[in-house]
Amino acid sequence: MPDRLAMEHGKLTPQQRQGNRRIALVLALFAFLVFATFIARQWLASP
Amino acid sequence: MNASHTAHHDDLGHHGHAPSGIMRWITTTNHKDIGTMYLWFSFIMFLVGGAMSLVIRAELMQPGIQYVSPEFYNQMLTLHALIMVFGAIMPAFVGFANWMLPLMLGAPDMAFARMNNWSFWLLPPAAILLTGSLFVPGGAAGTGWTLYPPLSVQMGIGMDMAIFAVHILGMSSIMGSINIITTILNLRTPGMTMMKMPMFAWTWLVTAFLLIASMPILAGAVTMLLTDRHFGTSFFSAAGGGDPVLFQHIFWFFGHPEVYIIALPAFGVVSHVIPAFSRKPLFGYVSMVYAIAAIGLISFFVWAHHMYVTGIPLTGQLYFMYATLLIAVPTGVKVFNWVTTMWRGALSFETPMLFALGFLFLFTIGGLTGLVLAITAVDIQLQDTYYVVAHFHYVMVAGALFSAYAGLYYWLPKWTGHMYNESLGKLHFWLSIVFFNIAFFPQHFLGLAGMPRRIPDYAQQFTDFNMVSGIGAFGFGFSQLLVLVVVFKAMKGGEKAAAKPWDGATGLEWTVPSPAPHHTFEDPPPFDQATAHA
Repeated sequence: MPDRLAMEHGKLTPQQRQGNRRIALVLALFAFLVFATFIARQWLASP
Repeated sequence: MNASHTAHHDDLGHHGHAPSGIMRWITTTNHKDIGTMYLWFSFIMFLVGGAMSLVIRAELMQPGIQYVSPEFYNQMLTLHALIMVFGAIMPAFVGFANWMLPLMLGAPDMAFARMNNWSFWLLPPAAILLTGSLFVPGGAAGTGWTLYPPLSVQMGIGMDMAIFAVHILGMSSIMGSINIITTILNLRTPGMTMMKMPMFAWTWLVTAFLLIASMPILAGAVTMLLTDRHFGTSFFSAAGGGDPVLFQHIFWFFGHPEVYIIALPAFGVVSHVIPAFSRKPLFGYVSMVYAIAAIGLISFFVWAHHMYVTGIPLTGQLYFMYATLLIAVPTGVKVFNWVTTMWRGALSFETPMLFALGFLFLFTIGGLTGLVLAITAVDIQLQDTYYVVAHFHYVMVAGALFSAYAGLYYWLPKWTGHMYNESLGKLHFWLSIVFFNIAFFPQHFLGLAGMPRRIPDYAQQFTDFNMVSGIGAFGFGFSQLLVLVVVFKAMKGGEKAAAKPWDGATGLEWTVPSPAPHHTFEDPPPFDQATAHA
């Protein structure tokens, strides 16, 4: 339902949309790295 | 107020292409709809978790085994905690964030409207997994919410369901946090600089960062638990060369920030309610912001104060004691600022203010008993006693829940378009605060006298205080049903609420009509000192 979503999003500028995507990407990557490196570290340290 | 830049009065149905009925709620991408769903979900889970706590208190009315087996008792207290933390309190504040952040920031919606929908709809399957685990062979997890091995490695399929539920809840929280951070950083109306943001936005910004940094740790811990259970690893199994205490370190590295994940948004709500009913701006805005950031940061460096009796070295005990005591400084700054906001204010005591004051008094008591428990030598005596149970219920119930009620009564006119029944609201407050103290204050004495937590039986000398605590718990539990009456009455009708029903309230959220239209701020609203919180 693109019209409805557009309504929800109001009139965001292309810069705002791009900024949204960049922030989300960085945060998601950070969360994944915390999860992955954490398990990897414990895995390597385990006997 | 110029309606063209503040609100669109058209309803969802007027567009013609929007689904109706149940599909409206399943497919909605509107922050207000999703906020409403979060709030209802959290209240339903609050009742489910509350019913479980009444099973616990009924069993503890007298010494000996009365109604339930010790195994079922443990399952009740585990699910009570998991449901209250992950199913009730956290979603309640996410509901407030969904409803209010776009309105406070002048944004048309959350940054990622579809992901917002997904964040919510992950919750019901997790709730079904948690509560459904009671009906599988072996029953639900009975480890306590901390899921400590070796018990959690040995339990039945109910533990796998709890682990999967925690994974799902973690995913939901991380997606919600990404949405909140992006909305706050990128969708504020022009002119609203970071240091002019509403305090609720500041508390949620720090909370969301805490969630993103700590939830993957919990996910990692329960994933390792899962591989220990089913894939032959020995992360936490001493028999295989692993270490069960490692799990405690990992769990509390998540678990302590989690305390502030719950507390910070509560601080945010109170930071709006107290100025509104004191008819003064919040005292010390900048120090408040730094205090929030400091609390968030320090919360990552104090986890082992939950583990003083695990044999950590003396130097470690001393470090964690001092670091924990350090949190009292920014927390003290906040309490000082709230009190000073009220100083010489034109105070009035409507229900939101009563709950905010209840929060202030009782959360401070919970904070002080936290300082007592932070002292290593004392904690070694009080570890796993009812003193700890009393402490964290003063923080979680009188802190987070009372603050959530303050927010509910404060913003209910904006959501429903009607004023709530003030008499019923006040009755709800007084019953809550009286029964809460009857339920939990005696638990301090029980803990000091040595009554252990998580045990369905106790020595006879603890009978009287347990009976008093049980009466308080049932009174508190049933008085919460008043909220349903208040909310339904406000939804059905009553006195029409003005756009700004509280004369001392400030902020963009009060510039839109009540109830808030389905779509707001499609064009960024003007922001000036009159609408600023600072």
